[in-house]
Amino acid sequence: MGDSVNLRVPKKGYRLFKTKNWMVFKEGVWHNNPIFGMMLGLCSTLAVTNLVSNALVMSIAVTLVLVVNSAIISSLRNLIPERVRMIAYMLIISSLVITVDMVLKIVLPEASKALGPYVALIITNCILMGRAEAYAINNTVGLSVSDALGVGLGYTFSLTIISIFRELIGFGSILGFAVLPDQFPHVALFTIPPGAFFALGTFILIINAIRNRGKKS
Amino acid sequence: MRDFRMVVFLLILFSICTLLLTGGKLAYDRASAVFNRRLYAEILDLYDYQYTEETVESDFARNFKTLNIGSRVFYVEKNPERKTVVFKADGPGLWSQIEVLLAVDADKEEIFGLRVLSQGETPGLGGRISEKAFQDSFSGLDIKPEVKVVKFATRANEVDAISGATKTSQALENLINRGLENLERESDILFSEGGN
Repeated sequence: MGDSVNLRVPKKGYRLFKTKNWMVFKEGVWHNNPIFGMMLGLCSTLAVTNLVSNALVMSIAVTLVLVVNSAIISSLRNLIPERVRMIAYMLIISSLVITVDMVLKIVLPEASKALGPYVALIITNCILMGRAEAYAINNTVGLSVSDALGVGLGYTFSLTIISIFRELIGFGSILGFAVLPDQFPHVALFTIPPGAFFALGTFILIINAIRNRGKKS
Repeated sequence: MRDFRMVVFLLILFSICTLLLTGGKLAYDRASAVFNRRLYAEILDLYDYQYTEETVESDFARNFKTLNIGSRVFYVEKNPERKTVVFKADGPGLWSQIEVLLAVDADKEEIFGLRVLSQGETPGLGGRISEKAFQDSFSGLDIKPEVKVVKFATRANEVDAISGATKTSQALENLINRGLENLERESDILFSEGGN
């Protein structure tokens, strides 16, 4: 019994935080954060972050498509002819997004209505193409899924903090629950897309300041 | 040879995707039957009939008769005092498929009411077709010779467009008129059956 355990665990001890999968995952969440690092998928970010609930549904949809897409593309990476790889990505991504869109319409009709065309527009979200081309096409399934999970979580994290900020300032609520007292003025600017630009810009400034902390330019 | 492999790969991938999506769409259509309830509620709402969430199906059946003609579905009101029919009309908008519920008074030859069921037009511009005030402006609109969405409505068959959303307004006009044409074609059948 003890022997079999010893066989599995390397001598120094198995450390999750030292595995390559974890490194790739962490890279996606922080340094390669799709919104604050790679600046991809900004269009949907600006559109759906007016409410936390919208942002969460969108994040889940994107993460799901991203992970499944990366898994499929990395498992097909030796089959996909190089010259038509983009077409292959598009076919796979569109099929996945259409499926997710249909599922959302049935499972969460209200959220689906609130998100409008933006779920279907995940097809054109650069994050998906970007991860497929930059990572999944050259790496194993396991690593690609770690990468997709990391980037998906990074996307979720970014959308969540922007939407919390916007909903709090714009509506005085979070997830529909009134948080701020009524006397607190609601800044309607943050409920509309132009306000999203200000919020996004502010967060990019803050995140980059944290990221470059201690570095001399 | 490489070209051949490429074509074969794409054909296979394309077929798999198409097959899976077709299956998905069939499952979706079945599941979305539930949405009929929402449609019924919307129609009862448009006519100001009383209904409750639980009994929406029987409330609807009491007031309307469902007629399937070809692939189209028409709901004829059972009220003997007027001859109205309500149906879904859809068509391409600027960005999205617009779907509306169109109620027509066949005797007066005017629109009884209009509801936008789904649309994904530009929020704040074309998206404003979902606003109640705009939808209400269609009530009592003459349907002969045709409905027009124009800049300044002066005649009885004209309604004010949304400024900044010319394309969406145009699309809405087209899909309403197309829906009315379909209705025209079937109107004899609709009301001969609707009378008994």
